[in-house]
Amino acid sequence: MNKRLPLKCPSCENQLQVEQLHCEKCGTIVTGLYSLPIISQLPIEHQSFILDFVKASGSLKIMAQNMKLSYPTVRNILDEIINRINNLDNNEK
Amino acid sequence: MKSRYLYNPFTQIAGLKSFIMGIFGLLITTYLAFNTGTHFYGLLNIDFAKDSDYWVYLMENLSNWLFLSIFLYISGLILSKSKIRAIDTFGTTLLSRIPLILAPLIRTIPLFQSFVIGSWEMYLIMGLYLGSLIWAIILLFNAFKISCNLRNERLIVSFIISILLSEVCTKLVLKLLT
Repeated sequence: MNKRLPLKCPSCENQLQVEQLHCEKCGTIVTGLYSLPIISQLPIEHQSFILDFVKASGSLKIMAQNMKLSYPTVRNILDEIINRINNLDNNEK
Repeated sequence: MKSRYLYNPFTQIAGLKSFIMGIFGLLITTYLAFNTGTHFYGLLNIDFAKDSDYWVYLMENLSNWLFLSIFLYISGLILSKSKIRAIDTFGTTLLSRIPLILAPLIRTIPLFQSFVIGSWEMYLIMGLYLGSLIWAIILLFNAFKISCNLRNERLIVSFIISILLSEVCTKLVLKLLT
């Protein structure tokens, strides 16, 4: 089963942060308060889009072929992701 | 999913593909319009008279599509934050005119080739034209929305203004040419 990384607090909807990291091999535990990287804060479908976009060498035409969508539809999805990243970036600053 | 093709095929079809399909649609519409004497004076105006050469019918269809595409594309360039492509706007706008084929198509049936004003044949043709016009406008709206990536009031206001401007320009050009 693929567990989804929770991004928002189920109680107050605030952005969650990382408090603990764990090494599976030696059992070391690192404790601290870390913000999630911006890409991890995006919805899972946007994260998948970014991965596929990189695999397609950044070509919207190839993305459109793979997703069986028109070029402007794929470009609009990309623009929406860019907009979200900019908003998250501004929030962090 | 398939019914979506009827009102918004542009999530799958755009660019050169929509342009080629649209050109076929435009040529067939023009051919039927010439044979049945169906004039398109812009997007919102239809008339019936077998009084012109083939090029007049072609100019009616071409000029309205061109003006509409130009105004929609300019709106997109001014208002959209996306890098829009002319081929998407011109192609999807052309494809969205496909429903307009219905009015000249029904007039190929002998019963509807000539009719008395106020007769049921006239009302049927006008009703069909109105239906095809609403369908074409829904398609055109979705074509503009996707090809130029606009939303909310920017989308609606620029869409209405573009249609009105293209209607005026089409009528002016047709008046000068005929």
